[in-house]
Amino acid sequence: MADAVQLFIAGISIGAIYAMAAIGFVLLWQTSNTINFAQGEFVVVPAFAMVLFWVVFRLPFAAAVVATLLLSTLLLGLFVKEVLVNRLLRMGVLPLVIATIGLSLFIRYSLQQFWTPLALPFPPIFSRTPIQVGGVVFSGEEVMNVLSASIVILALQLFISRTKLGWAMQAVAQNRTLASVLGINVSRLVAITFMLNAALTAVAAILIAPVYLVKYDIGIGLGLKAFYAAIIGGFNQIRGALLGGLLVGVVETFAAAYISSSFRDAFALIILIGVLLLKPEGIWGVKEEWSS
Amino acid sequence: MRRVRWIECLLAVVLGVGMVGPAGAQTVIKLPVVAEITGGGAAVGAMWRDAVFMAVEEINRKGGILGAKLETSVQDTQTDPPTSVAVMRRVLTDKPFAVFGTVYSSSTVANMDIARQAGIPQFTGSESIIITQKGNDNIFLTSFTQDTGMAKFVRWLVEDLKAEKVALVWVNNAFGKGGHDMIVQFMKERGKALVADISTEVQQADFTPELTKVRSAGASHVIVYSHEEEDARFMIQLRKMGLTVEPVGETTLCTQTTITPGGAAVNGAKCHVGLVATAPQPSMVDFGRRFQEKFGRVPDHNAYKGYIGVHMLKAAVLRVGSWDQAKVRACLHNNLFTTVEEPGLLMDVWVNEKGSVDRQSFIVEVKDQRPVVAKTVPMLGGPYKERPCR
Repeated sequence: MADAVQLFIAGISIGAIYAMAAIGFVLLWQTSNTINFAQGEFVVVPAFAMVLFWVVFRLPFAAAVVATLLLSTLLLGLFVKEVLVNRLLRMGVLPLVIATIGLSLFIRYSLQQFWTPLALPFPPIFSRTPIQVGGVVFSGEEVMNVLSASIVILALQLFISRTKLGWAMQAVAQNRTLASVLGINVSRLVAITFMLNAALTAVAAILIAPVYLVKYDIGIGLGLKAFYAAIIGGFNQIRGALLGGLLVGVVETFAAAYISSSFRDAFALIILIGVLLLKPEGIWGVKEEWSS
Repeated sequence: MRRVRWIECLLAVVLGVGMVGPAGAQTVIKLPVVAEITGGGAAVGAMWRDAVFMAVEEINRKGGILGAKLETSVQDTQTDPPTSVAVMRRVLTDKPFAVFGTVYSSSTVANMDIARQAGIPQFTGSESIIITQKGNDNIFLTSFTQDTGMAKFVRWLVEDLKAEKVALVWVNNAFGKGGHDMIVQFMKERGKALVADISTEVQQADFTPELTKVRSAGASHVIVYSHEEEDARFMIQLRKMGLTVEPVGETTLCTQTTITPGGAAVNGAKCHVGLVATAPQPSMVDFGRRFQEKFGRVPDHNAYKGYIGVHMLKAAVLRVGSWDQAKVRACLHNNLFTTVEEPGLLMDVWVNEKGSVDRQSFIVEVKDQRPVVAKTVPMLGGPYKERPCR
């Protein structure tokens, strides 16, 4: 039983990270019909930025976090939206999807070529002293990771449901044309969404870097899992992405423990296929009407 | 008259240049590097590449080998075995004298026959037993194959550490599988069995399930046998879970490429290592210092392997006395090469009939994020003798 609880905590911990990246997928899809296949690299870039500001430049931790959030939101949010999305979105979803795949390769290999192919160390942010409760051992780092991710997701949910900007985002998500007619600046809203996504991935980066290390290719698996999570939970619901992320995290952890590590990824895919067959809109997703 | 003199002078210069030209032009020997420059093995491939380049540069600075200048280039396998086959085919069309790489065993197993068919000697950083089991007389390992390394490792584990309850966590690829099989075999020969036998995947991030199994098995020692970056993650998570199990490993766990990202979590790990910058050998320490000065990072065992590989070739060519691939290949079997004849070897090395090596090795413990040598392990076999090749 203790082992199962241990594994559940580990699954929730990794699932919370998947959820944050998955929510980014949902946000972008909702407001701009964009699927960002560079989402994994959107986690990698702020992780490298944190190494730069905190480890290399030796800024205080809080200042390094602010600098990373700023860099992430401006570079991966505003810049990508203005330079890439604005030009390609009018051509349809597919060119933009291909462009984000290209962007992910560009980021990945630029970091490898111009920084390092080696895994970089990242100092722990929270205490790693093991805490034993019964037969279950966890560290402050795990607890704080889950707590931090929960706070960020809750804050995002409140922002979307309780602020005018959030309502405007929901309006754009529901009907871009009508939102525009009502006086909402859709382009500005999309830019804000991209910046929000970049901030989310930056927080995910800061949380996972101490454990998973900072390496140019850690985004590959992470981006893919987040994508699965978003589809499983529902690509048009934030709570769906949250559920999907946690589900993927927990299932893959249990699969690795009780079946084999070789099947870790397979189980996420099995759930994905099952959901697509039985409830294509995702567990908590809402059916979308497509008009030509 | 004056005009005739001028023409004479010009002719003399032209003829002079013409005569000096061919005599001064050096033969160029191509030694391409085929390595994991991108993908999961990029860290390993970068070490190997840089060390080969460094060795070539140093040899050229001293006049080359038998008057020939060495030329190297690098080709990326993307840490992908099928890509490594394609890259190897491409590289061999340039008719190199020898090829350096690959390092990942799964790639080497895939591409070694291509080099053999072309008759181009191949120096590899791989260690998998699968490579030498294939009966390829064209491939030369620059470190222990797992039958040598694991024999030394298991002897130390059982006799020195007196490990009773041993769990094994290994990466499920050619490298890990070969190591796993050797550990199981040598343990069995000593009447020991593993209490947990757990496979992991390349680039795995979370090791909680594996650590939970190790804890449940009640292991006193856990053998960590994966690639460097995964080893580092494993150690971080092992410390976070507060497991009292003693982590031990063969080379990768205690190498600098694991220690740097793993940080303090790797402290306390004990390993058998073939090549290490802190070895009590001045030549090894000196190479480590020069590498660090040049590239700004501490070399790991893969860097040592690349550097020694080039010097193994140099020693064999010098002993043969000519750039003859067949003779060099023959010379590199069942032969002892010493640092007296070739200091770049860093340690005396015996190359057996399968192209695998035997030499001294070390037991290290990671302290303050440095592998500290606790014991020097003699060659597994021997005494070996030098054999002339002319």
